[in-house]
Amino acid sequence: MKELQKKLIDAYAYDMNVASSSFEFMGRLLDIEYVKKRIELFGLSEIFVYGGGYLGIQFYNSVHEFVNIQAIIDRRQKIQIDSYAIPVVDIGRLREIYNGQTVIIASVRFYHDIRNELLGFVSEEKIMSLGEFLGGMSQ
Amino acid sequence: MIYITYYDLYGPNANIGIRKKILGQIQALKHVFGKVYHTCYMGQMMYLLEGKTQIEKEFAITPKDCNRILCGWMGKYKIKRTYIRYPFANKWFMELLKYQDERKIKSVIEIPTYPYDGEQLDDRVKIEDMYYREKLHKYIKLIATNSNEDKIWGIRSVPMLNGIDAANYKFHEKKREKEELVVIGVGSLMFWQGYERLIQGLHHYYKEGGTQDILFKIIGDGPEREYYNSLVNTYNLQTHVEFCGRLDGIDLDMQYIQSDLAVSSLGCYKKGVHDITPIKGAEYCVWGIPFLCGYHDMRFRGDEKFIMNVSNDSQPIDVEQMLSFYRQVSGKIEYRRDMYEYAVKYLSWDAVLKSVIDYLK
Repeated sequence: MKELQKKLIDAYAYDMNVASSSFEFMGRLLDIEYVKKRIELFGLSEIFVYGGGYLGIQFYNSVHEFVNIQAIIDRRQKIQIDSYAIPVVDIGRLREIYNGQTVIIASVRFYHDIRNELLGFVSEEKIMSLGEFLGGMSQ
Repeated sequence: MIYITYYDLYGPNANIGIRKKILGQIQALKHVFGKVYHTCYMGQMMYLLEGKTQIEKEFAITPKDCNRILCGWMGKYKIKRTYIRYPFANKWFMELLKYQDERKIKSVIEIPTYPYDGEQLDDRVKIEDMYYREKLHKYIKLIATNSNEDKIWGIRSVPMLNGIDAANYKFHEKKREKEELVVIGVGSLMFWQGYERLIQGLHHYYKEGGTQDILFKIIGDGPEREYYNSLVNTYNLQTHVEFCGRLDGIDLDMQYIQSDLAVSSLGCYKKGVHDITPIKGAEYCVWGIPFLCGYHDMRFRGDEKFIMNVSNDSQPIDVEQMLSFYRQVSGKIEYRRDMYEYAVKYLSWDAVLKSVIDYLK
């Protein structure tokens, strides 16, 4: 029982942290000037965005005027909102068209799974979490 | 050795004073222990750095992730000692301490401000901390904090006064350009700065016909800025109060060089604290700027001529008294040099960290 209780506390804490981080990211993405500065800081010109959920779409909306977004990558090859004309590809297609661009993972919950998936053909230094983009340190 | 902090040290909103303090402490620890790594947490990433060089970075979304990563680095880099800036206790922090204890890693926890129960904290964080901090004694034998208490939660405590990295400062005479008296207040504009007391004091002074031209420069930014600004507008003090925003490096140095007087925190009563050692007190001292102090600064005996002690309450500052204090101090030709020499001798991090270093050796 004690082990189960521990796991339950860990799971609650995890869910809470995922939610609060996502909320913070959504807020920061509203500050377009700040987002523009971050693109400059990391020297980004062409990127892929991994994640077609609300975070990915919000990120796309905030940055698409300042950086060339090649596509949004999503396992189901679709995004959460239908009305956007955003190119969406799956991981198989990304593997074919990928050419050294930075891939930003716009998912908090599935970050590790996505990163592991990408590491098959994207070098470590070209993978960036949304948190790192918004608040992390440049080299 | 690793200096562990979960603080955002280098982000755009990082507190410059806290960063200076941490880097100053690291420098002093380096003098004794050689290689000292440090950590920071920015953008849901945990970083391990040596100086300015990134050694490692890992994605960490929960406190559990952070502590798992830290334990991994302690093992990988064969760490024998840690200095931890207290992040408030929780289940996962206790697991990190247990990990250290099992591997005989010597560790000191620094609590920057104690007591802190009066601070604005999230209820959950507060409750978690109140529960787990009582168990810290199982793994930690020394706490360093601003307080004079001998024991905190059953653990030996030594005073951790805020110091300065003396190597970064050289003696400067003030470059006087105008006849006005320049008073500066440096720090994030939080409620405990209590700068409204000086603004109200200036209002009374000019209302009563005061003639000395005084310019109060507020250097920093934060939640209280709007409040201070509204007071300045209400009292029509726009020519006597200037908001300079956040400054660092040479811009901040220039402000120090051009100042006559300074104010340290005047609103500590709002946090229920009296014995503290904010960094700015040490900085004012090393720059040779006499200052007003609304608390007991434990680095000083209390009878130093260059400190004007004011009450720790909401009373407006008596500006006549402040001017008379300034005239008295500045009447002594070498007062700036005396203050500088005092700071180098007693307030350098090497001197301030001595008890901690002795324990970690």
